[in-house]
Amino acid sequence: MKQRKLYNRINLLRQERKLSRKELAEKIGVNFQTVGYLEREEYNPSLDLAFRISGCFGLPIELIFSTKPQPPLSEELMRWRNKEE
Amino acid sequence: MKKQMKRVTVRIMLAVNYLSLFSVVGLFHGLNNAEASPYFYLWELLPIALLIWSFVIVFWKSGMWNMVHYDKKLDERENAQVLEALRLAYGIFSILVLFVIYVAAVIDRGPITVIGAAGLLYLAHTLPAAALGWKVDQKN
Repeated sequence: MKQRKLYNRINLLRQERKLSRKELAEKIGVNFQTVGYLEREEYNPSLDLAFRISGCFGLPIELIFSTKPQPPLSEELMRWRNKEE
Repeated sequence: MKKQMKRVTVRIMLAVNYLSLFSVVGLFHGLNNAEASPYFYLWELLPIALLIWSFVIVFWKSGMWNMVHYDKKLDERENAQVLEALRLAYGIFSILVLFVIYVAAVIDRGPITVIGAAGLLYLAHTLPAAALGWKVDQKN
């Protein structure tokens, strides 16, 4: 079965937190090249790694990963806020 | 991997490596069949030197050999790449061995020579690393 492509915001979140690829890689326990593969969306992480990434950024998993191309984060936050109201 | 190489460089070095391996085996069989003087076997040194040189660069210094044989610190992406390379390599190797057996049966030459067996042994050990290098582009 062909795997679906997973879209993610790892690059954006890493840059926001001023982390280098190596630093992020150490935090989530992978090789720094793997962070590059994840950011370019050339590799779909396992559920375990996805949870580690989510834990590292302190954000819900669905905010980082999606099966559809992701809108800008500001747009998504507005949608979440409107839902809450 | 220790030293990052461009995929095109890896592919060229792999081609050099396996061409020199086939030259070593082919030259040996050619000289053996022609019952050439032992001095002609010195020509074997050239492809052997090329084989060792390309092996050191493409398998050893690049770290591909370690990645496939010893490395226990691989992450999930690297493990997946190694597994895929092993699957591909053993598929190719099985077909190659069956082909060698078939050719040996067709031309009725009996069992393969020591050099032929050494060539197959070398292939069995290097094909997984070669498959890895051929398919994977080492990007940051």
